[in-house]
Amino acid sequence: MELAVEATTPPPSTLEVTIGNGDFEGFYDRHAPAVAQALAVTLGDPELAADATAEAMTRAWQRWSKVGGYDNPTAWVYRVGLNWARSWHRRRRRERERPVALGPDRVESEVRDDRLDAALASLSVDHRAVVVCRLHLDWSVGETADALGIRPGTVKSRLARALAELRPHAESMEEDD
Amino acid sequence: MTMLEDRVREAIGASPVIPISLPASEEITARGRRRQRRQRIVLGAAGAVVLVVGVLAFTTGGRNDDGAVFAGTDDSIFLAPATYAVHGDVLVGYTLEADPDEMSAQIQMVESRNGLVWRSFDVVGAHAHLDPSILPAPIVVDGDVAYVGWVVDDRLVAERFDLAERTWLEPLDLRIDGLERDGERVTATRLVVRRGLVAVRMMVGGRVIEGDDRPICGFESAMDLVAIRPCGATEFEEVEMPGSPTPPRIVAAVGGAERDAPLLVVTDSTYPGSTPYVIDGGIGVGRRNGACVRVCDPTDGSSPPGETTDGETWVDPFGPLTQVNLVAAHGEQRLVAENFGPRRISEDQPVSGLWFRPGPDPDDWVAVDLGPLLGFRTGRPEVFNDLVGGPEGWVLHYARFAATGTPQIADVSRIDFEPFIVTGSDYTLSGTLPFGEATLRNRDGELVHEWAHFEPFDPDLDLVPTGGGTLTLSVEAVQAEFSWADWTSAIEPGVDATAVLAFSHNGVDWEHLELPEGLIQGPIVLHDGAAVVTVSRGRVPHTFRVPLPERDDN
Repeated sequence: MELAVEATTPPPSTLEVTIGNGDFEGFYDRHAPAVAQALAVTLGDPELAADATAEAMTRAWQRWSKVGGYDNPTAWVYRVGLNWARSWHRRRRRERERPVALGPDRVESEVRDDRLDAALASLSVDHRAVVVCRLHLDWSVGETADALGIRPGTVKSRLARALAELRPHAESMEEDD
Repeated sequence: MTMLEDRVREAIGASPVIPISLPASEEITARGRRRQRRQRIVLGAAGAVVLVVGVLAFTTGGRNDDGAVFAGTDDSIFLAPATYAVHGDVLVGYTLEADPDEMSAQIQMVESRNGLVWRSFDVVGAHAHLDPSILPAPIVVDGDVAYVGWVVDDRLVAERFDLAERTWLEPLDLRIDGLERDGERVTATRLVVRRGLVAVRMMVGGRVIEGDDRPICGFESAMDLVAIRPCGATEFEEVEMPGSPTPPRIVAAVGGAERDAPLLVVTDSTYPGSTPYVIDGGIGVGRRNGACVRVCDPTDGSSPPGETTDGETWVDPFGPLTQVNLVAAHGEQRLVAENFGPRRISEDQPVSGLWFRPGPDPDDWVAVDLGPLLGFRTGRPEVFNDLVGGPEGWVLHYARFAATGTPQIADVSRIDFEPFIVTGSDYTLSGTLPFGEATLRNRDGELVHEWAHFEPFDPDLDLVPTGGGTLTLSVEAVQAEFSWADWTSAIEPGVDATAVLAFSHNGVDWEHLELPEGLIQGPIVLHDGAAVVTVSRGRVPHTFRVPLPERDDN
């Protein structure tokens, strides 16, 4: 049986739930879709995101007595999923070959200006991950640093560089508006 | 929050439906249970590969620590790497800083001027990572770029480190045509890079027998014999290979590194396969019995492997030799070790197995009589493991087995069991080695876990290096941390084999080198008048310099 997820990008609060040593299956059902969605945005590949989520969740299950006690287990799962997806070059190659924006089915593309999406997709995965954690998931600098395994200063510098790359696209959209 | 950030947030948040199918939670938990039974990472996997290689799975429990290097109080001083290569006047290698939670390890580049003290590079930019389950990942240096390579699926991947700029470059990615895995894991064991050409030796590891998922702590193979020792067992079991007496498939591949040239892939259905080696400006691939080799060459499906400097034009350097296993090159000279190790039929015949070619003539091979070096033994007590050539001369690494008869299958049952105890910050592990009972207890003496048979090389043992000179043993919900040094001193499985080094100035006359007892792990590197070797003890690598005899020109 598969858990079919047909979700719009989840509200950030769904990833901020702090849980204790609750049951893993409940955690999985509640948070796997949101993790998958965040990874899909980061990686630009929903299929890879699904694989990465399943892998990270499997590892979470193996260490649930520890991971389940974290303040933000979803951050751990997100990080493991991201690392797993990036650790195999085959997957990295897929990232390079298919740097799609936010999903394959752009049902709203005819009415939305997707220049910013495209610019976002052109960022490196490192920069995209910071953008997703800070602006999409609304994690703090510290939470983002913990989730990505980097220093808070790196979070800030990567976000600044990412925004610098996105700024011209946003400005051109404003001019057109 | 700036307007730009708001627009980015809006762009992401307004993204349309992304259909993602995830497995049900029951499937995740079932997968986790299966993995807990079987999976293991890092050194467990590496140990399994070593076993499959047939290169002395265990050490002899050496006690000579001369030259061994441990992490000191200086944070920049690192444990010795398991593999390294020469770069100008220094040696470069890598260690892993693993996070047991994430099953991912940061590649920490290290360098040494003497092969004894290793220091880390101050890396500019992001570090590269690898999944430790792919180990071993050999390292080579070409120019100012170090490659750390491995095989995943049908691809050869190499992380590349610019030694001059101290920064990681875009990784190399080569597809390997014709790779037949038969569901087995494929592992890179040797990597060679020269002038845009890449060669890799691979072999199948991790699981050795179809339909049997038992963790294997001993593996032996010959042309007509395969035997395994399940972890915890005291005897080897001879195994019938269905349909063929040969062990899993071995593969060697050669490809263009930078220009995406067509790949030449050599597959070998028999053990131990082909070995790439370095020639000046190019790459060679040793071959074994021609009748057993199948060459998948996109330009010529029947040409034998040999040597190339451009990846397109190949020559056969072996002439009449058909049992090539290992090859070393220096200029036009070649040294070849045959597949079956040194052997002779009777005492009045030379001990053969090693061949030397003094010049460019591919038919001018001199049979080296190893009798003076090895003496006469019945059976096959020695196995060739590595050959190295250079301006200093030639070094041969071989394994010597103490047992008689079929010495590859050690009589494990007669090994004496010895008690051990290793104490970490919160837990104490104690028991008997090499594979007796063991217990893990917490600080209060409460039993956390017990093993009926504890083997340090059991691939199911979840033992991960965690940086800072520590190892983490994960058992159920517990993660017990021990220092490398304590683990090493307490846990050194005894064995029935010895690694031996021999040296020759001219490829013909050989003498033994003094070598600390233990398993030689990784390549041997000639550097500044010495052979630098890594000896593994209790999974912890120690590097040694073995001085080479000076040439006597009189």
